[in-house]
Amino acid sequence: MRYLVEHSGAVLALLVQQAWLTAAALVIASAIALPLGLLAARKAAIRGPLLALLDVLYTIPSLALFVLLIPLLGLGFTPALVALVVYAQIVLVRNVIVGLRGIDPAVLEAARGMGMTGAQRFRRVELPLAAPVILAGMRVAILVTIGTSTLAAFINAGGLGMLLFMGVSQGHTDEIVAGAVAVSALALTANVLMQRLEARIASAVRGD
Amino acid sequence: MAAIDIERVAKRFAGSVRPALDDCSLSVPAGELTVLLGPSGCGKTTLLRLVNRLLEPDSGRILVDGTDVHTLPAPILRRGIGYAIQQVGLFPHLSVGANIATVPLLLGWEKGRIDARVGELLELVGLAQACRRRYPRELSGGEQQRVGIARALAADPAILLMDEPFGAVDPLLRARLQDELLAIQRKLRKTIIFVTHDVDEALRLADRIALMRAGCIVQHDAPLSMLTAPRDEFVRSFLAADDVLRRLGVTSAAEAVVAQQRWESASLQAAIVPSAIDGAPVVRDSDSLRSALAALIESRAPALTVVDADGRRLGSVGFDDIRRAVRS
Repeated sequence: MRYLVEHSGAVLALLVQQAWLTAAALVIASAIALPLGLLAARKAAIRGPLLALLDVLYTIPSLALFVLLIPLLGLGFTPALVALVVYAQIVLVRNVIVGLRGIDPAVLEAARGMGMTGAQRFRRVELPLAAPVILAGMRVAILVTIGTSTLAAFINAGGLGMLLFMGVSQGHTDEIVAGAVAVSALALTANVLMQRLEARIASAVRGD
Repeated sequence: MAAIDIERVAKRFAGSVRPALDDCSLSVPAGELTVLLGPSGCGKTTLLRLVNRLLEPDSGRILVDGTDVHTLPAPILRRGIGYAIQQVGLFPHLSVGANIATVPLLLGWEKGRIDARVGELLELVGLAQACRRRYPRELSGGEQQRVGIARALAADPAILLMDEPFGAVDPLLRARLQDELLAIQRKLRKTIIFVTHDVDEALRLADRIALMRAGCIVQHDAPLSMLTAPRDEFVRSFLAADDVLRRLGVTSAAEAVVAQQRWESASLQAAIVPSAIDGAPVVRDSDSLRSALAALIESRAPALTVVDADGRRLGSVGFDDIRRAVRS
């Protein structure tokens, strides 16, 4: 614990670095997963193969994926970002699909019958009603990404993983503890914030 | 007011051998309530959904006031046609007020006009103004269906399409909602197409019934004509046209008075009507003979008095006259 206090500046810098990597990965991953999930929710022909592909990608161990990307993208931030985006897809896309397909068909029929265009239906009906499930997916994706991004230190992407790897290789328990505590704090904070957001959105959608 | 003309439409769904609709034509007069009646799978819902283009016909066309519905973009067309379905399909994340305001919002009405209109509609369908801020899940099934009808009527469309709107509510509530729909229709005179498989509901609501079977319209007629002159055995058996109680239900008390007079002039003798005694039941000319008969039996009087809307006496009718009216 002394390490954490004495080197709080350095630990904070690593934490910010990892938070930044995580946030960037999630924003990009969501931007891909939302249209992909929407498409897969509408077209059964795309849904099966897409989920199968994402499942396969998800089964590749994260460290292996980082290493596999080295010949293509080298070391550092970019390959880490790509790997994290790929990992987040399965959780995000699946929840977008489940959220959209879980909407009562009568509600969609009514929306269409009253003259909403496809875009109006999506914005006014589908997105709000699927939001709780999509957000739950995002929360899980954030936690998975925080965990995985810790390993990204292995390919020089920085972050709190640095403390863990250095601590292990040099036998400094203090560094390991500091890194573990900081990563856990990041994950717990993100989890609580997302749960609050989910609860608020869910109650708004239920009509409270 | 808007008349709907369905001209020779056909529709076959992919993967199905039998067409869902086979060369169907139907004229729906403006301001009338037309019921599409038939067993499940006869194509009545398919026909309904062609009118607001939730489905497209393989051939044939549909005209609203002489304009082919295909000349309008589907969303624009649908905003001018009310649509109510059995499962209601209220938006669970929006308040009752916002649900009702859906089409006016799509049409870009001003907020003040929308607020006033939502108030009017809540009153029309018999809901308290306080309902406006409540959410669909807080409402009973009957209340939800009323909101669904208010939502369909929101932008004052000339046409209303209703697909078994009362199919999922209990019989008692269904009868009440039917009465309310009739009251609303007397006030608004919309062109309504109402789909049901319930013969009693059809007889109760319809100005005209179009009875369907296997993708074709078998007979299109007023309820009483359907019962007294069924075109074929299918119509007769589906409507149970021989059921005397059913006939009583669609015959008005005024017709018993007419039947009495017709019998008098044919037989050249006065009908022996037991003179109305004190406490004899009084029924309106528009009441059904079914309720007239019930009143007669309950009162133990030999005859009842038929009056018009202003309370003027049209005549006295007894059991014989009621019998004559439904056996003619």
